[in-house]
Amino acid sequence: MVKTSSKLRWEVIAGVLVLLTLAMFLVPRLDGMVMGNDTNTILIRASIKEAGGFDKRSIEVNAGEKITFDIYSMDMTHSFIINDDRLESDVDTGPIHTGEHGTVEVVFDEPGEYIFRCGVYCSDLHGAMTGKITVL
Amino acid sequence: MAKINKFRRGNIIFILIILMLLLAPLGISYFIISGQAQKVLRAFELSDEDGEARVIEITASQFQFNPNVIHVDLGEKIIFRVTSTDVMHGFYIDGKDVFAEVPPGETVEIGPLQFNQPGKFKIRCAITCGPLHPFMIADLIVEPDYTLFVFVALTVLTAITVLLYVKTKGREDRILGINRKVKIDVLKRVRIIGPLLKRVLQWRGIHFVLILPNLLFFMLIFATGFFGNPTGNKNFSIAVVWILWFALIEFMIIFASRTWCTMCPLPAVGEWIARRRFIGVHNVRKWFSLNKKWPKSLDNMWIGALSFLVMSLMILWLVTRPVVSAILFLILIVMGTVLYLIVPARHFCRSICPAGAYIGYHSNESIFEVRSRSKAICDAHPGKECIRGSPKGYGCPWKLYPGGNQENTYCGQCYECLKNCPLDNMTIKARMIGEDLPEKAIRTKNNYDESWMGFIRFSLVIFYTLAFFGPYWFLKDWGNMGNAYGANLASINLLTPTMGGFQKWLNWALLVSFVALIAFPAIFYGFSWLARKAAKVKDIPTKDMFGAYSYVLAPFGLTLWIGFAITLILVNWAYPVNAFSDPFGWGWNLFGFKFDWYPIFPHLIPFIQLPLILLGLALAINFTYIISLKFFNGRKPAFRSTAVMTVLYTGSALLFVYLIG
Repeated sequence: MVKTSSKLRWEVIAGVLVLLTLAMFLVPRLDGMVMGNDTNTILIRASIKEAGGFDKRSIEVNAGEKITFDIYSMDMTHSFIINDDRLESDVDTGPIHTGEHGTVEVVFDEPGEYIFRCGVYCSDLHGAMTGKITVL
Repeated sequence: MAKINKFRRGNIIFILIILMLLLAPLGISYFIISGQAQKVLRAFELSDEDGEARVIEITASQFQFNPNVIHVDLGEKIIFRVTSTDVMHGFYIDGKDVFAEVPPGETVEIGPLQFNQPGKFKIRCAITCGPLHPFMIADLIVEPDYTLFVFVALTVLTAITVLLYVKTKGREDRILGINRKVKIDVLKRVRIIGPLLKRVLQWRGIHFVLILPNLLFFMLIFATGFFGNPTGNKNFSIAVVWILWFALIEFMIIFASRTWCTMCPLPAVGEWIARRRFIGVHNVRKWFSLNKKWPKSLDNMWIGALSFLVMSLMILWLVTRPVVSAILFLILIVMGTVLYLIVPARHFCRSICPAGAYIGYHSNESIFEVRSRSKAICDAHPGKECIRGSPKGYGCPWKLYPGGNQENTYCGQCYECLKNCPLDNMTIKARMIGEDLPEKAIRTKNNYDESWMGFIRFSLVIFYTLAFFGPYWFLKDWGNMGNAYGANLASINLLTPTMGGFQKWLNWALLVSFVALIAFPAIFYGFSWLARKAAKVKDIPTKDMFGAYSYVLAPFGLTLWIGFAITLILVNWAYPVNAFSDPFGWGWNLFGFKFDWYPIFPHLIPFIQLPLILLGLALAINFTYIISLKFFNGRKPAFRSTAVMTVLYTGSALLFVYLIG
């Protein structure tokens, strides 16, 4: 009798372990933890427009704050550019190859809307690969 | 005791011969080629030191270089002018320290470069430009191509040498001079490891412990395949499965037979439900399932062989689009589970699973087997726990009679028989490559399922080599249905086939199927007919010889696949390694490493592949001779028919040599 229950205990442990493998589906949720939650760093993942373009297409920041854009290329060589007269100089990360990060620091002094786009031809819809930053 | 000594001596000789077979061609060819190269280079030095560099214009686009085969002269100075017509591409040449970026619409000059090693080299894209990026390849042939000449000469020389060997010294029990019949009882004879291994394998938990981590990886494969990066080489589900796993399996077959099936998580869920236990033995008589009988007409490798072929027709999507791989594995795991609950036990693994089919087919070449110590003891023992099960273990889930089993094909190495046997008569044996292949070839010569598995595997290693590492874009484009997008679940709509894409795929599907299912078997049949004529025998039908001879494609094909696997790993090792640190391809770095892509010794890969081709060729010729001896009972007809078949094997080997050299 004792033996049977000890055997059953192992079955239960095994069952729990099997169920725990389902936890792999929760791993995507760790994204925020893995990439860090710095409020002044904005992570943008870039895919070709056909597959969604920039994953953040509407961003709100506060005027006068130093913002770090961390661009990660998912599938192609992309870049991140802002051409706007209100900025001291043009923002350009330069080409960011697939699987790499590129960062750029920007301070927006004037409130308003700024358009950012991809600066390296990446697909037929490259021209439509844009996003909007609203400076409050 | 005498027998053990004999085994050890044979063993050492065997290892030495294998080493020589592997190293000699490598060394010899390299010396000859570099010697020739030096001579030519000296000639160049005398005549033309500061000659003008030749400019070669190349356009790069998704996913091809144009021209895709480039000829240059030995010692010539070359400037490559590479223009990208679409996205950012890279430019890398095997054996040269060149990594160039080619931005969209721009032209980049690379060089001047001088080519001092003759042979065929690959120009590869070095910046991920889409799903098929790893296969964006052009051939650079440095002429005169001494490498190819030497490779061809060595191939023909190997064929002649082995033919001469079988003519003068060939014996039924010898393979390349080694006694193929000696085996070593690992569990009894090998000190320390043997008894330890026995205890581990008799422990009921071992199966579960091996499956659990693989199940974990499988869940990760589903998660990454459906939700991760749509680009294959940045995604765990592609990089780890189709580079690391795929390559390791080819090696595992040689050294450990179907050990993958021991730890495969695909049928595990069904097995656990049917047994109502993860570890223990519950009811060995009745599975928790519908307990239907598997139809006898399906109890073979036909479906498995065809599903491997169908998988291969989709291979260019399968190994580049994570979501396609995830869907395939989902289908397989659902099928494995459902089938287990309708027809226990491992019929899915025996007859349906594409990997199970080809691993099983090649596992007869393994140096590893699970067998009874003495079949007589098993036959005389009325209990037959290995079939019926006992409180210690289930009856063979693979529906074999383990005591009388004579081949590896359908033994999934679950070790239930090892746990069951009250007479301690089951064991693991180490043996020579293809120890029982000739006997099996004769025994199952009229079961053509495995013959066609052989034709499919042999044809496909050539198609895979062409499609993945060859320069011909049209073939890749056909298989890829003209689609330029990677895809996960969210972007699966990008894979919607177009009419033109479907037509392209039809070309690929028809070509591959025709060669694998009809053309190659027909040629093989033709040669079997010639072999029968040459042997001057009347009482043996051609189809028997055709069926039996086809089994020599198992060792031959396997060595070619190992050669393919080596390329895969040496060139693309960085992708699976990085995938552990960043499984979803989202820019994570869990373990603090991220390697840049660079191939290891890419210019030496042909020199590693050649010995494997020659080993396969030698084994094929020798096995053909042994099978012929069994057919004809005479050395002369056996030699004549072997000589005819050798022409076919050498031709096939030369085709592969041409692709790599």
